[in-house]
Amino acid sequence: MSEISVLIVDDVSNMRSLLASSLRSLDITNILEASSSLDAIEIYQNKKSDIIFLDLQMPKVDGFEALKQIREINNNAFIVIVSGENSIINVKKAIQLGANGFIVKPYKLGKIQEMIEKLNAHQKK
Amino acid sequence: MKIKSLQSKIFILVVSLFTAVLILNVYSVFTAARKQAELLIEARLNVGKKVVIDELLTDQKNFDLNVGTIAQDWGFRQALGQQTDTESLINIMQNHIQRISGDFAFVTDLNMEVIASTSTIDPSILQQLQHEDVAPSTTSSISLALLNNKPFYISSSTVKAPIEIGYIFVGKVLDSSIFTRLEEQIDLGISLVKLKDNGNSGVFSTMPSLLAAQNDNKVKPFSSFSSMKPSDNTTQIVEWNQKTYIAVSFPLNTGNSHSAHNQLIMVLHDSLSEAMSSLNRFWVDIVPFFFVGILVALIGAFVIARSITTPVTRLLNATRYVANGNYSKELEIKQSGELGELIHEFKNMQTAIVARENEIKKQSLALQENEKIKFEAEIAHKERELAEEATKTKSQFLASMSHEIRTPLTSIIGFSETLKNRNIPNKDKNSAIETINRCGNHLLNVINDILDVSKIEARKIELEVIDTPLLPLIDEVRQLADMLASNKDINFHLELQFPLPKYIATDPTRVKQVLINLVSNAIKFTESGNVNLEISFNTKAQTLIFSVLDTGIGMSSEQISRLFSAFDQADTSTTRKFGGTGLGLYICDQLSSLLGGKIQVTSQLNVGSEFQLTLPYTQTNDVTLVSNLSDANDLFITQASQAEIPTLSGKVLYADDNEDNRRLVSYLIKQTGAKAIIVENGEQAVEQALANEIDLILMDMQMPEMDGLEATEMLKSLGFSKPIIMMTANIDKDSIEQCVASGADDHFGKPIDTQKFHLLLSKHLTHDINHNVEKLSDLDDYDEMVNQFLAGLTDTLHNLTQAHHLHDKQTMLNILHQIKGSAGSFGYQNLTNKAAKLENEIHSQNEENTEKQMNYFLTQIKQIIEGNQ
Repeated sequence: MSEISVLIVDDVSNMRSLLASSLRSLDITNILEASSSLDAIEIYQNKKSDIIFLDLQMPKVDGFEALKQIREINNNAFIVIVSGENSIINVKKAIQLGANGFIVKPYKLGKIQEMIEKLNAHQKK
Repeated sequence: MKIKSLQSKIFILVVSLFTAVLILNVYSVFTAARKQAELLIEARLNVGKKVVIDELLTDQKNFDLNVGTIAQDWGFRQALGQQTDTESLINIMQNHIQRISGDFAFVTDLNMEVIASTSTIDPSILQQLQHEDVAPSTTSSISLALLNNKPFYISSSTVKAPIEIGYIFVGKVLDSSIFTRLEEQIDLGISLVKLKDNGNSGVFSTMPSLLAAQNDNKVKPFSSFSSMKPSDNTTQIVEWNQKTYIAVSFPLNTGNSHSAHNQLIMVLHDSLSEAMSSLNRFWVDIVPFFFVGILVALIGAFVIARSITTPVTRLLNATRYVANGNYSKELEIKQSGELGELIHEFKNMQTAIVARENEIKKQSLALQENEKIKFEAEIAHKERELAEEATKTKSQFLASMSHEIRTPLTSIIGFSETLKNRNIPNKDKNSAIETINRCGNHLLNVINDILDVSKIEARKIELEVIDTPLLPLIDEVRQLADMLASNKDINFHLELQFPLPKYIATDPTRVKQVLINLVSNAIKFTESGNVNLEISFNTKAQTLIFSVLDTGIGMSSEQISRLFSAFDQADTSTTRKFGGTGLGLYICDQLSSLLGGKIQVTSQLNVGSEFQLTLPYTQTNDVTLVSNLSDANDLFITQASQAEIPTLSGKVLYADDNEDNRRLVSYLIKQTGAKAIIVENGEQAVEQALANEIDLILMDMQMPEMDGLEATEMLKSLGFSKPIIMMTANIDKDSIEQCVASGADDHFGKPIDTQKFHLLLSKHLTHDINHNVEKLSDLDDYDEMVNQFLAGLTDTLHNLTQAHHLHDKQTMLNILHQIKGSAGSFGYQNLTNKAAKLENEIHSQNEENTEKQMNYFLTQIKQIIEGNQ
């Protein structure tokens, strides 16, 4: 299997680098980062990463909008929400917009690993 | 139809009677009125007669007086004396009669030779007068002279100057004015009739109608008067001119009264027809009353007819009943009189018939009795046959016993032989040992049974009655039953209906033997479903009741009848299928009799059976009653199950809206050493599942806000990979399908069985030998949880009662569902079962059953609450 490409979307750089290092510990190195929804949409349009880790609370355009637009670009995109806000309203909205996973911050490495495994299963389909 | 005609006959009878009476009445009224009118007229006629006579007499007297006065007149006397001066004499007379309204006058000399007469006098009258006797009269009766068929007063007086010189005669005609005046005075018709040759020859009357009629009918009208004697005072009815008159007649003196041919009579009369015409007006008045009377008669007739036909109809109906052979129909006697009598007699007849019928029945019974005797003889014959059959069965039994013993022995001997061979592989060796062991145990059972039977048959069985703690004894039975049931995928439930005595004086070994036998039988003959052991204490009868219910193959009544005989299992094919000697129930039955109790069986083929063991309660020194499960749990020997709590590690998320269940599950999870996150609904479950490292999710299926199914779906769609177990009180096909559809990994039935729950946990969590189990003393005590459950029950009861009153089905269902899912977990399996049943009743819309069961259920909850206060 070719190496997985990842797009991390978060306005806080610390968060991005933490997740990137987590992924690297799982031997995933093909990582792109975006600090805003708009950047993320643009990058995804060009690169079509295998998995997108998407923060919800971002200035201007929030994660939900990004989720919606990326879905529009590729209905089969694998998008995992990474958010500190796990209220049921957000979860429901994420599911409605077609999120493939929902990780609550702070998270343990195991959750990321689970999502990668899930992605593999998703791609096999 | 007959009744109708009877009714109409009575109707016609009454109406015609009434009409007849009415007509007779009217007739008599009419006759009386006529009579009255006649009498009245008669009276008036008599009065009129007097008046007329008086009037005429007075008139006549006055006239006489006047004539006397004339006779005394000097001038007249002088003129008469001179006799020559006829002219002046006539003049004087003329003046005089004018004054006294006379019609004529004449004077005669003493020789009765007419000297002079007024010019008004008709010479023929004078002739008649001369012819007649006109001598001056002094009578006080009326005296009239008929001159030219006209009635005249003729008054005469002697003229004295002072010697007698002649006579004066003055005539005055009775003209119509007198009659008119009299008629007005007496209000009667007056006629003056001249009788001549016993016939009427002339009538003088003022009544124009009579006079007119007389002209038409000259003689006839008064011919009837001819027969009247002049002095006759009685009245007569005279028909004349189509009218009826009542008349009275009386004679008047005439100058020549002696000559009958020239007699005058006066007739007074009044019209009866006219008097009766007022009666015709009376008719007009009476007609409305007549019709009212007819109407009243109609109504009366109807009422009377009804009052007769109604009881007759009832009687008729009753006769129909009797005709159809129904004698029990009682007649109500409301009527008095003949009809009442008739009904009464009819009743007597009914009673007599019933009596006779009974007599017939009695005789037929006697006949049957005869038959019975014959039948009994037949039975005796059959019994003999049966005894022979029994002997045959016994030998068959011996054959089958020897088979039962030989078969395991063969295995034991055979396999132990093979074990002698040291070269056999381990696998085979183990299998052989296992078989030998199994066969040995089986053999032991068979031999125990046979020994028991032989002891029973020989009446050598001895009971060892001691004070026995009841609950530990039951627990032993339960443990064995649990084991047997778990091997067969059957649910075994123990239901204790409190209060139960703590101790009983009995032979525990034998009681246990009977119970184990019954329970294991039930499990043996049940392929799937439930086996329940229900224990209750009848405080009134002082008996303990052990009921073993199964959903097994059941029995026909024919099979039940042979159930307890020693050497006969329900079917020889069952022996082959289910094994056993067929002695078990016989032993049970005998033992329970020895213990003073009995076993009763009810069963339905393919539905299930109930074996009920009833034992007398013999009290011991300790008469304590156990009244709730918490106390019972203390008495159970539960070490075995406690010892089996697994030691686990991991984090379990549990979502349930029922607080009691949350507390229990939390306790059960923590018992194993695993961590528990407890939430109240699906939303919280999703949130917590995402935010934590969860190893296992247990989710109640029905929860408010978000139910278990939706939460499971959400989690699964977000890639949640750990097992999710749906906890549900509904284990029907639909619910399980829903579980699968939501993505749940498994389902777990509520109420929670502790052991099964621990088994579930150990299946999904890591076993951790080194892990330190949290001290249970830090956790909620189980008793405490039971208490809290019981405390919550008061609210539940209140809410359920209210919902029941308001017919709020949804709320009732919600509450029942809660009870179903929790009560059993705290030892109230009974409530769980009843709640489940009620749920079904409500769904099936059976109002009557629901009502009944709901009331029972509420009472049960109340009793539990009260029992624990």
